[in-house]
Amino acid sequence: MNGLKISHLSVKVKKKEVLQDISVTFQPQTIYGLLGRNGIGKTTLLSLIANRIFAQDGEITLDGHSVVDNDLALQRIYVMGERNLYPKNLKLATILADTAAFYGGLDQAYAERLAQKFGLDLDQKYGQLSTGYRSIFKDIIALTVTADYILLDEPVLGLDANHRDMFYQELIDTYAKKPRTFIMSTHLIEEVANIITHAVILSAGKVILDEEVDEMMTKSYLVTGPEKEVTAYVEGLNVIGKEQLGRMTGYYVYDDLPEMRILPDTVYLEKMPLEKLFIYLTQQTTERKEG
Amino acid sequence: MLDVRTRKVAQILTKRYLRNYVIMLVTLLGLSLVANIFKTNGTFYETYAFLPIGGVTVIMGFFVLYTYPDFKYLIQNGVSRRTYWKGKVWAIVIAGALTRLLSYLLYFATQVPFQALSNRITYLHQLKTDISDSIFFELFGHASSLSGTHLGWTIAGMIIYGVVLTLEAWLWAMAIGALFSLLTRKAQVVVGIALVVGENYLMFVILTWMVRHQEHMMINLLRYLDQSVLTSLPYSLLLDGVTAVIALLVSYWTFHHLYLRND
Repeated sequence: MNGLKISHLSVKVKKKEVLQDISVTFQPQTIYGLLGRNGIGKTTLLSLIANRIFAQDGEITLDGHSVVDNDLALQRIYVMGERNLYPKNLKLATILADTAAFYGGLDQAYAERLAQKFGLDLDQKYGQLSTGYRSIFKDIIALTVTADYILLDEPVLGLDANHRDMFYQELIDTYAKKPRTFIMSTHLIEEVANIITHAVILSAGKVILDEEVDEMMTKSYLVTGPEKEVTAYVEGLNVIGKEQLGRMTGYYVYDDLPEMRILPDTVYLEKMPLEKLFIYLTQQTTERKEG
Repeated sequence: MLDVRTRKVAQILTKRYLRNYVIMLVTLLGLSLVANIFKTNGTFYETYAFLPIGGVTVIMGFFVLYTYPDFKYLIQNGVSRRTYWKGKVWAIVIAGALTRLLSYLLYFATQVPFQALSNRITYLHQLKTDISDSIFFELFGHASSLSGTHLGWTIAGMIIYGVVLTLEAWLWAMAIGALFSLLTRKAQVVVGIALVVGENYLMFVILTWMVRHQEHMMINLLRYLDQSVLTSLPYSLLLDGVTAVIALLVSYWTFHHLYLRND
């Protein structure tokens, strides 16, 4: 299987180039984090994958077949998005039934259990739900629908901390029982850092990082100490950010540390959290673009 | 014949059109009941006998215009534009034909008898009077069309023509609804206002011209209709078929360009 392949995709929205020559492949049975700053094109990318909008250039294929106007491909992709595309006057139970009919299946028993767990009455109409419960309902469909690629665009928007925790737990459970690909676009990076196995970071219209999270973490360091010693230690390394804390200087490094380089006693090495890596990588790219 | 998804789309839309038709019929009946309360003469049956039940199927075309909200729901469910288009065409054919036939059934089974009762004439006599007064008869009828077995053929022709016109109108409504869906909300308002103003202006120009040239125009029109092959039913049906195909092509193109707007 080739997976979900995006090849040389370019998109303009209102004459502004949002995505420029993007190429990335989403493999089967993997949990991805699709990360990027506000307005960078994450939702646009997910909309393109689901054939909701059109690209100016490039191609999106699923196991070698274009997704454009292809029911067989689209039936394997479900998008849980911020936008409300469900009719307000439809009952939740009807929406679930229609989804099952169009996608060729939905775990109805699991959906009902989840609805009960989250306190959602399926006899309600979609228009009666709050923002948080609309997200919950869409999440329930995403976790129970029979699709191979589940795209989650801000899946915990409007959810309180308890519900967010419940959602992540259910995501891990359902993935363990039935592995499929989840592509999660979210701003809450630290919450998903332990869930996602692969991260794709978008910045300035391009993919700036597309790697296994474990691999990323082996190269992500915070080097702190007196400025002179720290600066000497990180010489020649890919420094992506700097912080000053009184007399102590901290450098965020995204690079393999040279084995032969001795770490001075006054210099400390820590692991850089994924969120910090994201912040400094995207900041760097934005500064380069503006420069 | 139809794949599962196309069938589901057709099912959803057909149910909606039939439900709306029933609601509109009941509303029409209800309104005539209410109107009858305020009438000083005439019974409900006499009011009912002249209700424009056939017109309901024409008004139903407005529901067929509804395109973008359905597109949003279907694309959310991974349904392609092609499947949406196919499903909608099927729904139009099934619901359009059914509602038109139902209207005729109500007309023949209820309205004609009530009219006959009201006029104190036989059912057959009333039927022949109604048909001879109809636009269908003006266009295609002859003196012998109402006698013997010709009457049966005339009625059959009237029903077929009515169904074909309904389907043609609904297919054009589908095409127009899809065209509008390609526009942003702002553009829809502008185009909508322009169309209403333009249509009213055009009607004013036509009516003014007609008043000035009325006599000559009517004479020439009648002379033309008498001589023209265009007034033959098969030829008219053929023309209707051609325009229906054009509507299908327009809607096919527009459906394949539908996209999720940001407004």
